[in-house]
Amino acid sequence: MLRASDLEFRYRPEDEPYHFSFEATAGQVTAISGASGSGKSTLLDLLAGFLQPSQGALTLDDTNLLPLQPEHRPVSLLLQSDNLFEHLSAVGNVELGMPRGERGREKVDAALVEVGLSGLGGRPASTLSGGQKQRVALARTLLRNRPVLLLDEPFSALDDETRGTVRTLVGELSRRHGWHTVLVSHHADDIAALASRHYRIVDKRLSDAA
Amino acid sequence: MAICAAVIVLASAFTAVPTALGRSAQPTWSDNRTARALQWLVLALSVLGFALPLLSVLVDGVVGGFGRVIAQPSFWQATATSIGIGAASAVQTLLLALVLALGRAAAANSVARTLLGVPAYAYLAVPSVVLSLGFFLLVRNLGLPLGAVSPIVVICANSLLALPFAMATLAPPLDAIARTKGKLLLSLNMSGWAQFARIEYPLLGRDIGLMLALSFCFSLGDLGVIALFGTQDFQTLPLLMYRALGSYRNNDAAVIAAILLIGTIVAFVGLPRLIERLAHAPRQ
Repeated sequence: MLRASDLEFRYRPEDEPYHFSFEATAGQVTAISGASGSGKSTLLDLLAGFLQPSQGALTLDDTNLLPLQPEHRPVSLLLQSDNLFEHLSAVGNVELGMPRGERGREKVDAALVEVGLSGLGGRPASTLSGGQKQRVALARTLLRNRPVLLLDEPFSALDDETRGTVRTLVGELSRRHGWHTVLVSHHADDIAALASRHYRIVDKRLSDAA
Repeated sequence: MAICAAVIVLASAFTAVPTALGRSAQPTWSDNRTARALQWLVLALSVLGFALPLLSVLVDGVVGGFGRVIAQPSFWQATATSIGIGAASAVQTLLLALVLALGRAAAANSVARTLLGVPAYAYLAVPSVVLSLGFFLLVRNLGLPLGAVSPIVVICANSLLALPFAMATLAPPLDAIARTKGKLLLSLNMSGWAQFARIEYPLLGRDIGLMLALSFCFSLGDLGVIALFGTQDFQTLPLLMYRALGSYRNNDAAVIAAILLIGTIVAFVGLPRLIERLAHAPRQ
């Protein structure tokens, strides 16, 4: 269980602080929604370690995550865009998910097959469609094998058809690999299709939308 | 120069130019006749101001007797010294610029970012002769053997003087990478050499080549630094040219100038392409 308990954060001392408390279960998608500027990305930055809360607790199965630097957090990121390095091939991008010093084309190919991109590994990332790019980023997430997946509006740049396909893939992968997936989105249909639990940020606080 | 500047100011008053940062859209308006005429005038003046002296150098150099100059051992010695110092200076500039620009791009603190820019851009305000004299006095005050340290000092001085231009070339793309990919790189636990080799180097291949060419040519054409440290045994092509002029061998000077010009053109055209090709070469 990924659990945030009253994570408090403010950008400037004079600001009213954010207060975030929520739980995300393994194998399920937990959605966070809210108006633009409500603090959705701030929450993801706190979970990923890019921001440090002034107080509160963040644990994964009783392991305290707060002392861990971003690179050591058990977290993978999937953003709306800029998930890939355009000068690298699909394989090159996926390989970045492997632990340092480790190589293994078979693992990369298997990850690409799992996200439905077999045969496209040699393609430069710059020539892939938006949906294919998100799949490559998901393949990299598979290799990273981190138990928490943070999704920041990952389907926003996709057309409706691709959006549905990638959304389904995210749901399947989360279940299959037991990821604690946290989806930040302001699209009600994404949340309805994917999320087992839904929180909403109102007045800088998370509340259970159900 | 003053005429060019005046015309540019006038021309800019007649036509609007998008000034937003980042990628700008193509203008949807057409220039009026006055603006077009001024644009052509500016272009013609710039081309004339640039091309005429260079053409003179090439013409005088070609008719000046290449054979006589290249038959002199001192010419080849100076050429080797110029290339060696230029190459070493370019590599040193690259290393310094990368350390500063990567440090700036990665710095979260805005004060640290500003401070990391100071060492580079400070050299813009320093005349090369002043820096050279500073190095000269330093060497003398420290009691170092001038002959032995001269090449090192010339390399260092040329490298520092080229640093602002190197930073101006490398810092913006490195900043852009840090802004757009910073979180991703951090979450992928990429840093140091692995990050540079896989991400920055391939993306910056052409910029690095351009910066190396700039620094190399800067050093190749330097006279301010070498004038203080040069000797009969340690001279570069510009110093050789200056000495030829001083002894009224104008034709020899023109030949050397033409060779310097050709060298800089080759470096400017070749190095960016070469480094870009190397940066994009498939790696295992």
